Amino acid sequence: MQSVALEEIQEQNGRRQAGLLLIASGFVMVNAVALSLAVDGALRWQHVWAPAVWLALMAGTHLILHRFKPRRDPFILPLVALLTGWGLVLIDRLAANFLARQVMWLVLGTAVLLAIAILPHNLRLLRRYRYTWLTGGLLLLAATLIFGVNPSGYGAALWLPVPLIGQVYFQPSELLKLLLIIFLASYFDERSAMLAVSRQNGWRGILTYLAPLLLMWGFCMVLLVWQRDLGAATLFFIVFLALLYMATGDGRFVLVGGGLLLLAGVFAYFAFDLVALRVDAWWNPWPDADDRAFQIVQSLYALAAGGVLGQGVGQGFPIYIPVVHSDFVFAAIAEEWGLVGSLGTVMIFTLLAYRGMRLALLAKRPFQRYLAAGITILISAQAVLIMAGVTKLLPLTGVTLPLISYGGSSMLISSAMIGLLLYMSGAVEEIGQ
Amino acid sequence: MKPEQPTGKTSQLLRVILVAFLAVALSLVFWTVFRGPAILARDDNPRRVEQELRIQRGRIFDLQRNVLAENAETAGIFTRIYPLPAASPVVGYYSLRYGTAGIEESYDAYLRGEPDNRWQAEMRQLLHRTQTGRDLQLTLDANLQAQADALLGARNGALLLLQLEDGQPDGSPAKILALASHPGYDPNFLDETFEELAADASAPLLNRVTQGQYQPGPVLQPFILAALLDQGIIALDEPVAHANRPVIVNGVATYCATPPPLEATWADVLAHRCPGPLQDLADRLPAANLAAAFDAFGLTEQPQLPLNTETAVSAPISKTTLALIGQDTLIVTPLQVGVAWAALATDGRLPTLQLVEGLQSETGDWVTSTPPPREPATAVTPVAAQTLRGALPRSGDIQTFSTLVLSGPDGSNNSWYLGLLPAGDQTYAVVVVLENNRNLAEVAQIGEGILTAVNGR
Repeated sequence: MQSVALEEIQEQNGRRQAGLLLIASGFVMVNAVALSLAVDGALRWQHVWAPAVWLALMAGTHLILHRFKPRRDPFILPLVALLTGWGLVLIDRLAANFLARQVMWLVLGTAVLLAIAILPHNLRLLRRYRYTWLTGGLLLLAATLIFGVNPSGYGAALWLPVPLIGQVYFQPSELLKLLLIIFLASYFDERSAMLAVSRQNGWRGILTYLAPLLLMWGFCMVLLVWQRDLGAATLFFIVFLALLYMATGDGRFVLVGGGLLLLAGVFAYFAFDLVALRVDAWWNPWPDADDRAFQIVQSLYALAAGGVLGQGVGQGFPIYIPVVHSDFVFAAIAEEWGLVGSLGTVMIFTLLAYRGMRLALLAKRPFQRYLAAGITILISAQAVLIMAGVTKLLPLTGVTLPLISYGGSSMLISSAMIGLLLYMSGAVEEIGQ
Repeated sequence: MKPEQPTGKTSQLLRVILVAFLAVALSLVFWTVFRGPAILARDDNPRRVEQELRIQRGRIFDLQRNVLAENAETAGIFTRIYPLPAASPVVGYYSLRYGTAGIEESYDAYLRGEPDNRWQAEMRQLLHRTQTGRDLQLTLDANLQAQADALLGARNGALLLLQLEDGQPDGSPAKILALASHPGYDPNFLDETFEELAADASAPLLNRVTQGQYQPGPVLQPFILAALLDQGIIALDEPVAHANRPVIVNGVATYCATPPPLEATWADVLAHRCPGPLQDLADRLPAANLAAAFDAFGLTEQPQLPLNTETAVSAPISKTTLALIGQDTLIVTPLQVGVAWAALATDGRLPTLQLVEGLQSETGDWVTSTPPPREPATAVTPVAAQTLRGALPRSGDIQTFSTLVLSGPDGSNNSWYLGLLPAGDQTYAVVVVLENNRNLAEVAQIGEGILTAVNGR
């Protein structure tokens, strides 16, 4: 009886995932064709090949997951597919010269996603060698001090050239996001109970209790000062605070951590021109609309020009926004797909967050719970930071919109995170049964 | 101390995430719906220019569907082209930098294809339709317009050619076949030359037909005499003493255009364009009646035309003796004179002016355009108009009235030519004025030239 019920669930999962992927495919292909018609007035292969590769990748991923991970969450892959497919259409629209490279990263990312999702004992390896992983990640980050470059030729040197492949770069801070979540999940898995009681042991206990918070804050400050990577530093700290709160249940951590974050922000404002510029442009961009606040003002014009229904793919003017294909891709969505498209994007990320946190809620083991929550919070926080920056709700932090924006390292690591969620979702459903 | 259930904290974090996404959603709604229209209207928004460049404006045709304005497209961006620059006084210009003028201005929304209502606007945005304007057909005749322009040549002045329908009690409109103003400009090079044109003392951007303000002088004579005939104050065969006596204005003596006979009548005064006897009428035609006559001929009202016809309002009559010879406060445009002249041609009925012949419907069909009806207005009775017309000098089939007008305190003159050419059921009326010109033969040559051209087309 039980095996019949399991088979039914597997079939139901397969049908759900296939149906949702079909909707995502329809959306992406229709938009690719519409882009071709809008830009060239005819259907051109140059606008369809990348979505076709994407379609093949997603179909293959669906079949492999259906075969090897039958109890996975059936909603995660379609949501991710919709974001990556939409992202390809946008990169073709906004920076077509980067399209081939992004497709290459998507192929790599899908391979990593599948490898992580279906290979056994992944989590055990991650837990056991957490210090090794983290040290490796930090070493890679440190290597940017010596070998770091910026592919655009200016700005912070946060990338490492990939050996033997010309013109391909990797951003260690992206990898570090994942490694840090793994480390923290493992750390809190082991130490949460100890942390909870340590505050009762006088000053020494309080120091032990606060040590992780101060250490993490110190690390983020180093990252901020050393690399000027405001976005990554903010994200690391937010994820850390959230997991610390999960582990200890102590709201004061959030208050103290929030205070430290604010303190770091004030310091950065006075210490770094880039941060001061972003804060000033956020507070009142209009007097400096043609110069220092040009990017955010053009972004607001894009939101306004899109209106409710949008200008239509290929028919707006998002290219007025500097680096629109990376940091401001959300503004391009708002301009060409309108409020419907931008709210749709918010909805997709919300659903992804819900499915991710659902995994954390259902997880039977603390490590899985922290890992699922950490990944979900990281993706959600990154999405919120950039979307809030684009809509002038928060100052810009210079992060990309996960799975949509151009960026190979981000695509690869986000795919790995999704692979972990899918891996854990299979386990959760299995346990749930 | 027992730690709290971890699922409770996870749920709280999920709620925080949901609230953060909700805040982003609200921010989106704020910028797109509530603040959107205001910030889109800002001058530094480059999308305004981009969208404007992508609007395919409707074409403008003449009466025979010759193109007067069309578009050239390069990579989705449209540039306006004017195959007949001589039509610029009517067609005007469309410039991203300097705006619009002429028909391009008055029919801007139509030519741009602006939606008629919010529903259409929303549907257009929903279906991502490009903004395409509709075509428009003028009453202008491109050949006649080109000839009018050529006839004026290098002279500064204005020319208006009207086509009037005879014997139609319902009042067919007077169609404008040609409307030329010199000096002019080439709208194809407006962006490059605008600053120079705007600074030019000879005012090439001014449409002299619709907005050029001229001292009327003896040009008023046919209308004043028609009003006097209408009121029974004079008769054309009534003798007039000393018809060729001088009239001194600003120290300058003016006489009849041609010597009248010694025993002259009012018909001779008209034929020889004598100013002196007109001043004697001050006793018989009070200022109020004279002002009413000017009003009746439409000389004090702004003609209704889809061009800029706005001019300064003339002050009330200060001296009747001067007003009778057109040297008082009344200032007229050639268009106003054209309306009054057309009234004489159509038995005293003030015509409605027509410049737009047809408009395109949304389905692409042409719909005849009728100018908005004006209040039925009669300047004089048909008898008075016919009697006056009968006394006008003739040059072949053309009834003419040409005269010099003292145009300023420096003694400069403008020469005017008013002509009527009956042709079957139609009459063509022309008004020509040349600035700083004392050669009546020259202005008559232009007037007769365009009437001959229209008759022979």
